[in-house]
Amino acid sequence: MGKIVQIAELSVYGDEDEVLLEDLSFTIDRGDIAHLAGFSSVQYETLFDVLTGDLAPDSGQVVLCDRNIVRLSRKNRKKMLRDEVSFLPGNFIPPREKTVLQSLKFKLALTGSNGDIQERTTEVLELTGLTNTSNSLPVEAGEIEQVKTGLAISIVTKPELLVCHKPFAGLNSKGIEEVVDVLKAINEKMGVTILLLSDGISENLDGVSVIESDLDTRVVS
Amino acid sequence: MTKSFYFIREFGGLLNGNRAAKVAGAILSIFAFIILIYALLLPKNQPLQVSSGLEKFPQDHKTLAQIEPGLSSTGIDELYLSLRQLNSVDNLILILSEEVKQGILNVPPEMSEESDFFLIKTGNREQLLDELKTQPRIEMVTTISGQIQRQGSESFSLWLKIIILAIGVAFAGLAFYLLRSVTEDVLEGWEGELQIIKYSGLSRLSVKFPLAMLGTLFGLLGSVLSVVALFVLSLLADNGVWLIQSLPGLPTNTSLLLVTVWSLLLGLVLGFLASLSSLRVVDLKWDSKVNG
Repeated sequence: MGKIVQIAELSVYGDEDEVLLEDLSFTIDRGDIAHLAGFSSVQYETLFDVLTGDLAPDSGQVVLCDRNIVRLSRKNRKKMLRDEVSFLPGNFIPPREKTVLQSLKFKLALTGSNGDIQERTTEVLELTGLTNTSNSLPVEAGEIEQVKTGLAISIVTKPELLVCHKPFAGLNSKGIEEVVDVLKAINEKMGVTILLLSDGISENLDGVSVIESDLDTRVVS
Repeated sequence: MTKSFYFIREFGGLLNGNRAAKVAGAILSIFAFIILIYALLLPKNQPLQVSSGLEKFPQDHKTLAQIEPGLSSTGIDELYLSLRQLNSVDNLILILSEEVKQGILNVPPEMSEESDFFLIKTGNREQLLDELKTQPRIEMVTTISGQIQRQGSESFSLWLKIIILAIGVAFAGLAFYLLRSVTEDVLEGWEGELQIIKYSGLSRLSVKFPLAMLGTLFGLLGSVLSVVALFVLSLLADNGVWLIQSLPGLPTNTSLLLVTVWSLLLGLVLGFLASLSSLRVVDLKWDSKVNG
């Protein structure tokens, strides 16, 4: 089983040479659910921005789905990320005036995804447990439903890799458990590799591996 | 481009209730603005159909009919008699092309100076116009309005012009504000969609472009309304035969075309600038960190 994420000696410096990430290295196997624990909020945010291509690292390599996104042109990087990787940003806000189903169709329309839309949305709604609420507005639902909606929107394009930034923010332990169950279902049934950039969850979650990185976490607290 | 049309449709779907009212207000403001600009810019004293030589003719001979060029004197005589028999014709005067060339009568540019003309007096202009349609030798008819016959009058005073300009600018400002406000409203409700778009690998331009197009479209609608209103109002005002002849201050087709093009451009630019000024909201939301 190959590596779907390979981060090598990644360093990012902020204004006035503030160290955000320094010599970060880790890998994730295809098909895993991996949890990168122990980072500060700023470090999570910085790494998320690097992975989305919004922030260029000062040094190091970022290989996602066998391609070094640092070396790709902006256009190719965006296309590659759109086709193969999905991102769920922290504190995701679902569309206010769209139902869950409309939001899924919106994402599919944006990415120009082909195939049977009905079949795909049905599968995703079942996986995320949103079948019964597919025609309601997610903003009127609870926080768990909103996170699930974010996950559903993220995976409806069938990405190889899903990167979630703080998906458990604001959830209690029961909510976290419920979301983790959804993540496991996505991982098992769709074969999506999942990277969790988040703290606040137990490091002993069954089925979720904790990433060991050699990042010096003292640099930003 | 396909995405732009998709987004325009999406934004269009959001224009309900309060937002729809703002759009309607913006379109009407642009309409009012351009109408006021017409009032300022359209010349009021045109030597339109008949000018310097008019005083040489009785003032109640207000219909100018162009006779088919090259018609023989016998043919003109027959036509004269034929016209005299029309119920609506009270009197008529023949003016030869030589007289026109000598400057006795200035004719509109669309009429040929090589032709002879009749100046007709009538008590029922509507009926006259209908009856003239039955005369194949009459090629073109124009009605001389009272306004046109009064030379050197009817110009707005400076103060009135300033007031009209101020009201026009206020309407333009209102249109600008409303279009900007509705764009910001739409974007305010689109925070979730913007996140999805951003993380789907699309650029912010893919959102900005259709929004700017939508604003431009609203501007265009306002200006089209104003052009239509100009046509209708001028038609009603002078009750002329041909539209071009009944537009005060628009002596030729070229002028009419120019006014139409300028009006449309004015609406387009106003709508485009208004929506453009609100697009910074896209940048703010795009770059905002809500990661807690």
